[in-house]
Amino acid sequence: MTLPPPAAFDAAHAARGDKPRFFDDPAVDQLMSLVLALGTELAVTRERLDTVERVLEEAGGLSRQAVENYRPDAAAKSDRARLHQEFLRRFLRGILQEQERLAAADAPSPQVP
Amino acid sequence: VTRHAVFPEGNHDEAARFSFLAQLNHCIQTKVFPGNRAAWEKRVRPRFLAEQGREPTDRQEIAPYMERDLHYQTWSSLRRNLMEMRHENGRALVLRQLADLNARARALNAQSPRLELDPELGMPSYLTARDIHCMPGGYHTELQADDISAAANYDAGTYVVTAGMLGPLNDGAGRSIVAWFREHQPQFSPRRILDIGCGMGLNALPLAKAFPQAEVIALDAAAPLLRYGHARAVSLGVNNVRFVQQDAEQLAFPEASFDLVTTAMFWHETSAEALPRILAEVRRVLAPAGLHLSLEQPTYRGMPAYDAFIRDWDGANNNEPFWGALHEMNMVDEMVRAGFERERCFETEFVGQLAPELASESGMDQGRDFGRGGTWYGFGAWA
Repeated sequence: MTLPPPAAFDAAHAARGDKPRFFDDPAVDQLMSLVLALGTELAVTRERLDTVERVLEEAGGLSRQAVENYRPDAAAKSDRARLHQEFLRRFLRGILQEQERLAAADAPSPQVP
Repeated sequence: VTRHAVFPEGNHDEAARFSFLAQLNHCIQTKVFPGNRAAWEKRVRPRFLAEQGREPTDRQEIAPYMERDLHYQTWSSLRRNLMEMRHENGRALVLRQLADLNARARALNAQSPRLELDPELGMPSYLTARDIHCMPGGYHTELQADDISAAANYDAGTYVVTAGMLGPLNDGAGRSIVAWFREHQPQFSPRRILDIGCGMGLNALPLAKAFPQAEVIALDAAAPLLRYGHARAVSLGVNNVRFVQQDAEQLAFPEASFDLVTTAMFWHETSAEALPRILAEVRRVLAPAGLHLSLEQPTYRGMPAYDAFIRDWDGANNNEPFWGALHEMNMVDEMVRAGFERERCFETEFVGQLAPELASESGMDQGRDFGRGGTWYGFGAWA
């Protein structure tokens, strides 16, 4: 299988308008976009591997086209949704734990600068 | 998602990326979003009270305080990145097969009397000044002849940010308008319907199906949406919709030529200058006893300051420049200024038409997309 020719247009082209910055240090904004892209690609790779495993299991062999053409049934979709939600819990662990601490706090706590 | 002839098919990894982004969106909305209120209640509001000695009176006072909060910053960054990644994946998927998609649309659109494009039409500045909701190139940019890329990308990725809540055809808003008629105006039987800012006709088609005797004019300024919308309608077997390219500020229809004029999530993508002109046009083209009915995001009027603040996130952060100003406007006053009689104006609510089968397939519950799920705000007026 060969890769398709490169796209004539850049899909990552930015939208016209101001780009908001959320963190005090712009490097954190940059880092967030890197981490989220990495996390997404990891999830995509995990799903591709899941497809490979299922195709292998079903066919007793492997063809790349079979992976490409694989369409998950309802049960596989549901398994994958759970897979992603479990991954997201690990992925967002730091944020969610901080949130839990905050929600459990009785007294207001000063924010770390 | 229900496939139709111009729906762009993703390959394995593109589909997996969308699937993951939909899960990520769901996680951000249901798991991370509630932390904003906790941050507000537990540490930001106390700081505001300590510094100001009183409660905040409006969302603008809350903004500089919340913008310094780490959780709000993180949630904002997650959400903005999600929007950008959704469009990057959608565009990559569409652009690599654009020639084929455009050819498929061209075949369905050729010589159709129900697609009227105006290549000379200038785009309203509210569509060109910024790319609304971070969609590169906006609705109007054409990369090839007979281009549909903007619409194809928008359609392919919509379920990522709505978690399937708009249904397999992404037409939940239109079905909510139809449900409104069944509940409030079961006898209403329009012969000519104008849907302004129709986009790809997501909401015009449910109206056309609900009123099969009517002719529906689906109107937008951007040609890629209309080409895609027409091809999609043909493919779905809906034949009483005519897709027309016009500027809503200067409609080319005679006075009193429609029984019903609808919009769905349209006004917040216009501007303070355009809105009164478009409303005046709506009044002008409505026949006596005709109805104007609009579906929108909830108004901020009467909303607690924190809720208005958090809802306003999209304005600055998702490229929706008119979002905040619109939601603070009194639309009844605006309709009166446009020529409607005050006692014939009303505000109303549209009940969301959820798609449980789709929600369960994706493993998602029916959580609110902070307001996008349950109900929509509505307003309208009888001519």
